[in-house]
Amino acid sequence: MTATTTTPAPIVFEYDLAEPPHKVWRALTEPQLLAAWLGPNDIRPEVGAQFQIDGVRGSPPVHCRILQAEPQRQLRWQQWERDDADAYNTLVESLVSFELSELPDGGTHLRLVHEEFATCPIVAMAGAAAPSAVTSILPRSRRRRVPARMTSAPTIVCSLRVLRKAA
Amino acid sequence: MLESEVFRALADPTRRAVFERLSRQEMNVSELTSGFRVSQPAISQHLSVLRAAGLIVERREGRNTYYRSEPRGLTTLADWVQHYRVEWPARIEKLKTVLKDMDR
Repeated sequence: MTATTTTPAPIVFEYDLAEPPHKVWRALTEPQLLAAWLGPNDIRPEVGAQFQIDGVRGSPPVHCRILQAEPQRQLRWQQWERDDADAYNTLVESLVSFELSELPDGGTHLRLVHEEFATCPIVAMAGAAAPSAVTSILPRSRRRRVPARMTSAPTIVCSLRVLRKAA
Repeated sequence: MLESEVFRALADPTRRAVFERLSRQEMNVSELTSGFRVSQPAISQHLSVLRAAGLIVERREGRNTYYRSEPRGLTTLADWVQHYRVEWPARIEKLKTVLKDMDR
């Protein structure tokens, strides 16, 4: 199987926002508010929660899993996207973090870090019953629902690596 | 492309094996057929299903057609990072608008 490739350079953005952290937190974690600036989603700010964001890069949707959720301080998720420019044969995973801190004027300093980009080939899609391309890489609790006949298929290595690290 | 199309294409074990072989190496139909106990027309049929699902690409060279399903490497990853370098600031501008509207 082809080795996973990774890139070390994270992309970092810093912003000073006029609104206080509790408001920024809401804009990050309430589905309707998040939808207004990122895309339709079903986010739940709980560690381990899985959600989807539509339209970040057109289709298909971005599949996400919350790794960290500290209200008004930090939100961190792992995301997986299929690469439409490559006939969907590649899965791109990455890590997105939002760090919030209160400014002296009551506003919020937002630090956005997008890092740990990795690609791997999708040779893992097991069969017609799979509800989505990422079923086999999502957390164990969900993987258990996959019928036994499908579990013999190869799994997507890059994500397992990160899930292990996150655990 | 619909995900269900992809899964339908890969639901067949032979087709999945063809797809996996092509992710390792580019091959033409006769090279591919030699690895399977399936006729060449049957392999051609599988290839057309995989191609319709967008899972493989073909390249013509003289009278031969080569197929592959190649994962993209580091260069692509750089493109991906570049996309987000541009995308995030645009999204954050939208976030600022959302935050202002929350005050009302």
